[in-house]
Amino acid sequence: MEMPVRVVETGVEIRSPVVLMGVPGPGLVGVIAVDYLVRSLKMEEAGFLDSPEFPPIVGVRDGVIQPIFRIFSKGGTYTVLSQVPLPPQLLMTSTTAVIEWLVPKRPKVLVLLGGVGGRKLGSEEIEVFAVYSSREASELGRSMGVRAMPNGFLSGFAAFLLRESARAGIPAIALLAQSYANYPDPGAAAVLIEKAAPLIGEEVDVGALLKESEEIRLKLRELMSETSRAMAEEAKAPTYIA
Amino acid sequence: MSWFYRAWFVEIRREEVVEPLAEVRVERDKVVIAVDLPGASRERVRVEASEDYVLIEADGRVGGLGCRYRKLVRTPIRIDPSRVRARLVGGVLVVEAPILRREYREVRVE
Repeated sequence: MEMPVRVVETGVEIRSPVVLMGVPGPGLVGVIAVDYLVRSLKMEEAGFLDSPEFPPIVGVRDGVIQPIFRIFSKGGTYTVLSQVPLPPQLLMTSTTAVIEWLVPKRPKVLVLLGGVGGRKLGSEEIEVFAVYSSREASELGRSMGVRAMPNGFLSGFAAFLLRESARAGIPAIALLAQSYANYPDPGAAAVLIEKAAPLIGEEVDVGALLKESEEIRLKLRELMSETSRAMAEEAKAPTYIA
Repeated sequence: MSWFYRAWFVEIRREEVVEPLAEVRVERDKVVIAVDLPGASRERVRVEASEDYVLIEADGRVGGLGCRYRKLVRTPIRIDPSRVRARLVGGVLVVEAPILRREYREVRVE
């Protein structure tokens, strides 16, 4: 059966890339983090995901439509960013398409950036957890100085991405920051960026992100509310059981 | 029409009245309403409460532009408006509204 989601590559191919991915989730942490990386590192458009089954939503820039699920690149790094919450099945199919696209490039690591909720209001402490697809991936994670999630179960999108990456032989890491669940959380995104920066070998100054934090919270409220609705529908199973 | 055409803008427009994001949860003896008010200061937040509604209005300054927030929250259970408390924590307004005490009378079973 033909895959209903295809990856269209428009940039120069990178071999053995580090890949960072963000999709709408708790606190929009992954979206804010990847979007900031794209802007601050001046990454270039390298492709997009396309499917007739995607919801009828497009981005608009200078009056021209843009895809909602895009790929950017710079140096040895790809970033993959979905700017609209997709139904779970379509998000999983899209992720499978990304993984299949990556396999021949033999990526060093695929890192999912996301939030897990549970941040207390006004709390400055943001803990970051990591879950790895394999021992090899956990070695890579050591350079980030993050705590591995303790023994238990993980369910949902991060679990799917890690399992499918393991199946495809790609080392993968889910890097999850404690964040607000239903408000955009640029603070948690900044912490994630600082943790992920050593993997891409770039110095990323998150000062500008923290400075525009209020603006981001205001601008992203519509996407956050769509995402919260989507998450409530798929929240039948808990994300993590200790 | 809403399915056919709906556009939202990610640019902040001057003096726009926006509906902020809000979470409402019922705890054992109170209703907690948390409202995200980026750029708002305590002096510019106004909260009014009745037994079943809480109205939040605020002025904020975001990215050099002024913006106005307005949110009317219907509480899932009746609250005591005289005992409602509110505080602003990291740009999030937390309103705690004690649930209105109810008096129960025993009903004779015949």
